[in-house]
Amino acid sequence: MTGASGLSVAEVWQSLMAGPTAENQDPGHSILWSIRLPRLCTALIVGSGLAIAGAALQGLFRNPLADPYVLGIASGGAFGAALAMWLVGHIAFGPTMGSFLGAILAGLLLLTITKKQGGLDLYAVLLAGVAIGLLFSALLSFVLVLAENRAGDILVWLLGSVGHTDWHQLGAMSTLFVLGMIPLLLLSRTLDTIQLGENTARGLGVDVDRVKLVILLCTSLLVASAVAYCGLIGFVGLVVPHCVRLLIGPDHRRLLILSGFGGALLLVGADLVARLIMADREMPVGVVTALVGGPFFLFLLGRGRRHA
Amino acid sequence: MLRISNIQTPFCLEKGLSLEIHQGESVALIGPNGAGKSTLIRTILGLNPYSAGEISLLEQDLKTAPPRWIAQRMAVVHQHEERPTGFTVEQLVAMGRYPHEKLFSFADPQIQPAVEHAISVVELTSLRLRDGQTLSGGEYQRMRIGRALAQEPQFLILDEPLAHLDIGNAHQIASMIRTLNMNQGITILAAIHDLNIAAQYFDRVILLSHGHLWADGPVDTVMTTENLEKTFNIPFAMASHPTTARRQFFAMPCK
Repeated sequence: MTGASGLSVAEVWQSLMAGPTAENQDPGHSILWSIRLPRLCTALIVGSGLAIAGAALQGLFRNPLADPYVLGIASGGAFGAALAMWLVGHIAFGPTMGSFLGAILAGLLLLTITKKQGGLDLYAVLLAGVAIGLLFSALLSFVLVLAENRAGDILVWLLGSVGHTDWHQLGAMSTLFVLGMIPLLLLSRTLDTIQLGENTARGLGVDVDRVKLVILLCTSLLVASAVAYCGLIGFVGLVVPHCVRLLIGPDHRRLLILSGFGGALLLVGADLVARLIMADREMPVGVVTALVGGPFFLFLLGRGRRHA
Repeated sequence: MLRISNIQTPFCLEKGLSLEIHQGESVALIGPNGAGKSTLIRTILGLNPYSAGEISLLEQDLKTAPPRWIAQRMAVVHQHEERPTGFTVEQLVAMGRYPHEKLFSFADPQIQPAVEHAISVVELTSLRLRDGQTLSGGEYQRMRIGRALAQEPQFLILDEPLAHLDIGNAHQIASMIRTLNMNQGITILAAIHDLNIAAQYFDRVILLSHGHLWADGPVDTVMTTENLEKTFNIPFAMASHPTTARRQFFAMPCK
């Protein structure tokens, strides 16, 4: 349990064993239970959710460059959450609902624009996703201008951090995570058949249109649970599924689960770096993942072009 | 039975088309480009909208039948298919088990007997662990037929299964399809470009022209030089195959 304030392994173990409600006046105990542990759990859930969402979207669109951020779904979620923060503040899961609705809206827009006879226009998906992302980013800036007194709060949230959640929020977040993840795991064989193209998948008994909607809903839930509480943390959904696919192949049953573990690991690591890289302040974890993910994305793009 | 009753589609099958395919038959769909072969097949598979008529499989209207129910009874080999990276031949064939699988099964479908059987019937046992992307055109087509077989269907629909194959692969695969019909009783409906393969390997032939049914029946009744000349607009000569005695056709050079 590393951080700005040093806790030894023995101290951590003692506090863990004592439980959260122990009457312990030791500051280390309170740091562990109200700061470090929620933070760790948040990183695990958000990282896992983003990576599973990325793996499912890459499978659905048959494109290794697809992820909730590249496709504009996260921007939709960010706009929805910011709008809710401006209008209703942090009450009654407003940002969560807003984020979910924004993500769904962006996803539906993407499906509608790229629909053509016999399936999706896979070449248009990335372009449309980028355009949708820009559109929602512009709307987000508009909200920031309008929300004068709350703009500071929104900006800090937007930069991406896993350190702002308490146990109650974690409860809501993990509920959304489970609701989004389980249907995706159930659809992993279906995602395998979709790799053969939509017509062949239909011939194998897949209700392709319904599957698209379910995947969109579930990835929106996962993205909403991440964006509403932790802001924009990019590239986890892009990098992790790709690396896992290189290691274990394209079978989605294993790919989704192992991407979940990989994403959790990556975000916990990135958060650690974000907290330790500068002694006196914390770097937003979104900056760390983007610094890792950006060059990786460019590398994939370059490799894809050479192979095309 | 697959029954098509008075199907009409915009642009192609405008006048309405009816036909019945009975269990155990092997039927070749022939006709010139634009005659409506692919349109008819795509319409049966629900990929083309139709404005009137009804298509039923085993007395069940295909418009309302659940996709899984259809896939358990009818397998399809489309003209085109994407070749995904990373899946082995075995995994690709095992996807044919999808309509029979539970929603989330961790049981390895590869080891199911139906998959084993399908791979051996299409003679891909030695290539079972190869990446599907590295297969030749003929091998990939055999894998697709294997996958259709793993579905354990009663009906197998193929849209131009021999397109882009060399003469050796075309005959081997046509013969494989015939064996499936003869030995396993699978009903076959295949759009076939090559007239001689249709005459050699199928029992019933449906000749389409300009979106309507020109002739339908046994090879010897439908595949006459007169019918072929009228639909393909070139003169034909006919002979008997030296070993099988089936009809074979030769296109006469155009003037």
